[in-house]
Amino acid sequence: MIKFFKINLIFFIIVIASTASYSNSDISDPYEKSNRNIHEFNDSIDVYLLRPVSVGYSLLPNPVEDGISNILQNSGEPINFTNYILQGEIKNALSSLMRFIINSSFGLLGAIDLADKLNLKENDTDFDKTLEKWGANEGDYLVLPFIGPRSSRHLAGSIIDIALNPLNYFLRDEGSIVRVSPTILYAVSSRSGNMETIDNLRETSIDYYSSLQSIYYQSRSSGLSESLDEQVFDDFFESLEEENNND
Amino acid sequence: MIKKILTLFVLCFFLPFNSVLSDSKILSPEEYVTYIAQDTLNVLGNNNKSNDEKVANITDIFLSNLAVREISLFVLGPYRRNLDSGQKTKYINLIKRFVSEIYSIRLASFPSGDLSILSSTDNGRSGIIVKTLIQFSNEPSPTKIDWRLIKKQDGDFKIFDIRVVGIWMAQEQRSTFTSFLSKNNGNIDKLMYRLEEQLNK
Repeated sequence: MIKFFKINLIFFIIVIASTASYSNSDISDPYEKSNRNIHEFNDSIDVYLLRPVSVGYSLLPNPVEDGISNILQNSGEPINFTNYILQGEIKNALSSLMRFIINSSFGLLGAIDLADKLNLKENDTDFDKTLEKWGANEGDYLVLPFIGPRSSRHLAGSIIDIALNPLNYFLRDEGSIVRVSPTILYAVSSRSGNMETIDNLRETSIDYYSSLQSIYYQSRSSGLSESLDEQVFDDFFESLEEENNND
Repeated sequence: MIKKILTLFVLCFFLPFNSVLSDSKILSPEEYVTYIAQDTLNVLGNNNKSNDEKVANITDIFLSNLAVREISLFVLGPYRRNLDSGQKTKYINLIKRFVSEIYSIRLASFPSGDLSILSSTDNGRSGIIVKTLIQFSNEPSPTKIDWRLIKKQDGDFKIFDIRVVGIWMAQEQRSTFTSFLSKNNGNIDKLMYRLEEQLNK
């Protein structure tokens, strides 16, 4: 019964993600007004609650912080393995599996990244990337309470990752949120130095919401979207050349 | 991650100038990036300089290596066509100030490090991408930094954009500026007012 539910959930989410329309050169943000409200809420939580917590976290010795970070990373390897299988990336799947076995067995439950020393490098993926590989569009831009930016496809992928492996997902998602969301960052990140960085970004950006949106999409981009990014530069210089010739 | 992104962002706009580069047309893209990045890192690692001196040094010289005009126009996105000739000079000067005054202070707080060149790719019109690794002294693993160079008509290279761990900085600024402009009917005077407001904070 549970298997039946999971299979239906997966297909349901794939359909949702596939029907969304988005091209990387033109971010779809139809819910901007509510997104900005949630962004403000997240930012308030960050400033008044999570940031102070991070001050205490930053007092931990660096090796302890690194160990926690490695354990979180190691706990995500089963998700990497599953998704690499679904993407047909067998070599990466085996690498994730070996990393998990080695670090869990000989690396003090992942606190020490021994696999890295054996040249099995960290290489994250998730169901969002799997959906992308299967041809699903990015969808609309969303900002979720307490979590931060997500495209609708990424949200769908996160639900699948949770359904597949809830414990590991919540442990592991620290990594991806750190990249884009100051909301969760301070509570869980081992990088206490990010405090000043986030504060600077908030203070100096003329539109903090848009800055985080751009960082989110660029940090999630794949080879396909990279070529679209390249097109943005190419188009700009082409039009600049035309303007210069006309001047 | 965010720290790396901002490091990139700061480096993008505050690359110090080396007199050797005044004749940068004789350098390959890799050599050009090496000179600039290493000089920047040397300034950051100079403990004899006060923070204010570092800021002043970097602020004085970074414009020599940055394609300010191209960056200023790029970050406007489609709204650059709204920029009339009267606004253009004021706008570009404002971007120079914005960049220098906001970010030079940040740069001075970064540590020194070592640079290595990975590869270089000529993408034609959209520039030359030089891929590097910088090992900052306070980071356990090196940071990937890509440099997008453009070649000016006089043969000199200029830096158009820098990407740290996947984030192009000028592109990030472009998103921010175009978002602001879209909410203000493409009014560049309002953008300039907003930038001045930010500078006077």
